[in-house]
Amino acid sequence: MNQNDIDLIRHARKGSTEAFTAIVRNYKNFVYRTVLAILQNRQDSEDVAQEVFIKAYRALAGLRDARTFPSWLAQIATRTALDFIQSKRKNQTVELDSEKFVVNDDIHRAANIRLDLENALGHLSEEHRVVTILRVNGFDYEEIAQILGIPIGTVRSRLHNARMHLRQLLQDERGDNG
Amino acid sequence: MSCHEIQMYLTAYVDDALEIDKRNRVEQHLRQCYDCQALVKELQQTTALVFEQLNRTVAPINFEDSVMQQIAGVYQERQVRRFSIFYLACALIGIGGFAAVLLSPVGTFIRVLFHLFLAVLNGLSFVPASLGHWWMVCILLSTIVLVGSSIFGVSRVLRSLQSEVVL
Repeated sequence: MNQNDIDLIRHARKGSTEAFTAIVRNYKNFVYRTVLAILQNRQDSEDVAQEVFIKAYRALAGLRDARTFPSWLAQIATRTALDFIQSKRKNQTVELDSEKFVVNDDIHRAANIRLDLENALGHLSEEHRVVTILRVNGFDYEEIAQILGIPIGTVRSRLHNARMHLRQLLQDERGDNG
Repeated sequence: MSCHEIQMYLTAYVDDALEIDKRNRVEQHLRQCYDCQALVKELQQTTALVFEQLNRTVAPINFEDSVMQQIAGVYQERQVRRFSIFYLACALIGIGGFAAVLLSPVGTFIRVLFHLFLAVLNGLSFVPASLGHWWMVCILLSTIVLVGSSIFGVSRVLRSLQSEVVL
């Protein structure tokens, strides 16, 4: 996180909409990527990622240390995405699995590496997807533990299980494709 | 340490997130275990692929505009709420202050002053009539009209200047 971002957050906290626009510009991929990795659905992810920024805007005045902004924003993003999954499950209006990137076997065989990975991520549990995307976003194990409110040992084991699972899935898919 | 025990730490090893003593133990094991070496290599490849592919994900093109439109709505709501609270607080303070002043000993003094002011006005109104100088009343009324229209004109000019600055 650079000094420019810290200044932007300080200005936005004082009510500058221009500063917040710049923050959205700088962090939109970070938030969208996080939410998409958890939800595995592009349309829902766009809506939820927007909601994340609205929540951040409303709560920004309460952020004490501007330097903790990335982990604070990641926390909002993961919670909002997980809450969205829970509320969908409660309402049972749409089956999450039907919208995942998981595709049938025929399409599967023609998929490229990117789709392989998206498919593989779709096979992971939510908690494994969350730790994986937080790690990809550059947080260390301790920060992930703080964001999710879980012990660092749990982070380590979840990341390991997720990575082993991904390795296996990608190997299987490459085997199928080959 | 056995392979099973070591493998639990291999992802953290690949992520360079192990404490120094555990890292040393893992490296010591890796030097003599080809299976674990192969697993480390696979985990490194998987990690690189995951990082590379996920980092390519970008938000939709109009995402920023959509967010800022919603933020504008939130900002307006917030402003309206702030002003409403401000006006309500001012009104309450004003009413409360006025009531407090009227009920206090100062209020009695103000009431006496008000009655005195009315009596003076009443007395002054009889002066021109008793002297038979109606022209004084005419001049007084003209002056009041002139002062009033001047204030109105100046305020209009100031308002138009203000709107030009905003534009």
